[in-house]
This record gives sequence, C-alpha cells and structure tokens, in this order.
Amino acid sequence: MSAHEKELLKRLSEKHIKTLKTESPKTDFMTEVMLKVTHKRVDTSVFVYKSPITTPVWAAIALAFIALVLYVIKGQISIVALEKYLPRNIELSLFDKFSFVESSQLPFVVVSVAVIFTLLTLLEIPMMKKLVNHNR
Amino acid sequence: MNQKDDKQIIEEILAGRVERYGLLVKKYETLVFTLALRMITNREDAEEVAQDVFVKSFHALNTYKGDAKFSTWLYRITYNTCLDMLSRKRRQPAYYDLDNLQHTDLQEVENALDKMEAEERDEQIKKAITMLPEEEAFLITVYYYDEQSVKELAEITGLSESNVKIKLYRGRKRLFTLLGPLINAEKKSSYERT
Repeated sequence: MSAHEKELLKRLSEKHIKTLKTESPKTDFMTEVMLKVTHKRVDTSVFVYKSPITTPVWAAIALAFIALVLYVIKGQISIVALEKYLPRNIELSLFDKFSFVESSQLPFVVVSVAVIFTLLTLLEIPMMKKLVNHNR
Repeated sequence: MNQKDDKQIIEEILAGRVERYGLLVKKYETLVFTLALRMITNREDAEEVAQDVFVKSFHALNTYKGDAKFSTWLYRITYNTCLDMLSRKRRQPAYYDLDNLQHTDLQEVENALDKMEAEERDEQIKKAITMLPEEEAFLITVYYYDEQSVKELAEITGLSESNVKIKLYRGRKRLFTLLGPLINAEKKSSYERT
C-alpha cells in the first residue's frame, strides 16, 4: 500500500463516511423494547413473596393459641359456667375428658416461649414481605 | 448525556427504576440499528436484532463493570448478536474479493463523488457498505459514526489491534473500489433514463 493511497482513503472516508446519516428504526422501537423488558421482568425475574397463610389467618391462630395458653395457665374457667349456653342433651362430664387443667399444667417457660414465638411470627410476615420484595 | 450519565442511569436501573432504561435505548437505538443494518442488510432482521440487543443488555446490566464505556459494551453485544443472526440465517457472504476487483482510480472516485448530489452519493456509499464483509462493515461504521478508538474496536470484536487496523484499511479500500463501478452504473442508468 502506498502512503498516497492510504492518505487518499483516509480523506475519502473522513469526507464521505463520517457525514453519512445514521438509520432510524421504526418510531415505536423504544416502546417495544420497554414492553419486552418490563414484561420479562414481571414474568420471570421477580419473586414476589406471598405467605401461604395470610395475615388474618395467622392472627386467628395466634389468638386461639393465646386463649388456649391462658386457659391452661389460669385453669379457672368453669365448665359449669358454660351450662346455660349448652344444649340440654349434652353431658357436661364429657368436657372433663378434654380439660387440660387437671391433666397437663404447662410450665410457665414453655408457655412464654410459645407466646413470644407467636408474636414473632406475626411480625415476621410484614418483615419478610419487605425484605424479599425490596427494590423489585 | 455523557459516559458519566450512562453509569448513573445504570445505577438507577439496578436500584429498581426500570423506566430509566428508556433513556439508554433512546440514546443508542439509531447507532445499534445502523450497525445491525450494515451487517445484516435487511431492515426487518436488523430491527429484530436491535431489539434483541437492548433486551439482552438490560438483563446483563448487572454484569457491566463500568471499566469500559457503556457504548463499547453495548456494541460488543450488537456485534455478537449480529453474528449469531447471520449464522442462524446461514447467509453466504457475497462480498467482493479485492484481488478480483477491477483496478479503480481512487482519485477519479473522489472527483465523481464530489460531483454527485449529496443524497445520491450517500445512497451509493450505503449500498457499497452493505457489499462489504460483515466485519469490515461493522468496523467502518463504528469507527466513523461513533469515533471509537482502534483499542475499543479490538475490545468489541475480540480482534487484535493490528488486525483491526488491517481490516479497517481493507474495508476502506474495498468500499471505494466498489464505488467506482457503482457510480459508473448509476451514471449509465441515469443517461439511459434521459
């Protein structure tokens, strides 16, 4: 290659290629790209945390559990006191078989742990949602 | 919007502001599309490739380290996606071997180009670019349109710097050599029309 030819090619390129206009894609190109990008993101990329048990159900479970624990601790709910609310044909002695009061008085530590655990579970749901869905 | 802005936008996208990606698409869509069109030569396929490039780059944004220009990184994806498309389409290269081309006096080509109307001249040059081998068409387009350095071109294509220089020279020579007969053919057909 001669130096002259090289120079000439450079000059021609600078003069004619550099001044060429770029080509434009169709007008809705960006919209289509953004649709593809966001669509894929929603479909495949994002893991949205959904607790299998919903918050109200957790709350109901916790309340039932707390009520049961209180019943076990106190042991003062008299079945007899429920007599007026029960149908006449039900034998009150049946309830004795299911009473925790006489059969098992749970230690205070176990009950406390259970209560704390329940409260933590209730706290965990919004925290997990916030943590897992963060920045998505 | 400079390189620093690009990085800031990328940080925002990675932080969850997906809509900011539109700014990058708007900024680079014409050059990515032009590159694809120069390599693939078919408008529809080039559009498909360009979209694919932006979708791919979006999903790979977290791998962009920021040590090179964002455009360099994006053009590398463009180059590879175009090569993939070409191999998928199994397009046979129809470029012209320099040795088999008739000798063209480059000075005459320059004179002829200078006399042509701008629009007609641009058409002929674009036509000649599409007749180049894909690699040369890509290198010439990025080199002159976006003023990427030889080093950056080497990073994009994975070629050595000396190889890039050789291919740029060959591309330029092939382009303007091809333009000689193209201009003559155009002159002849316009003469016949009148």
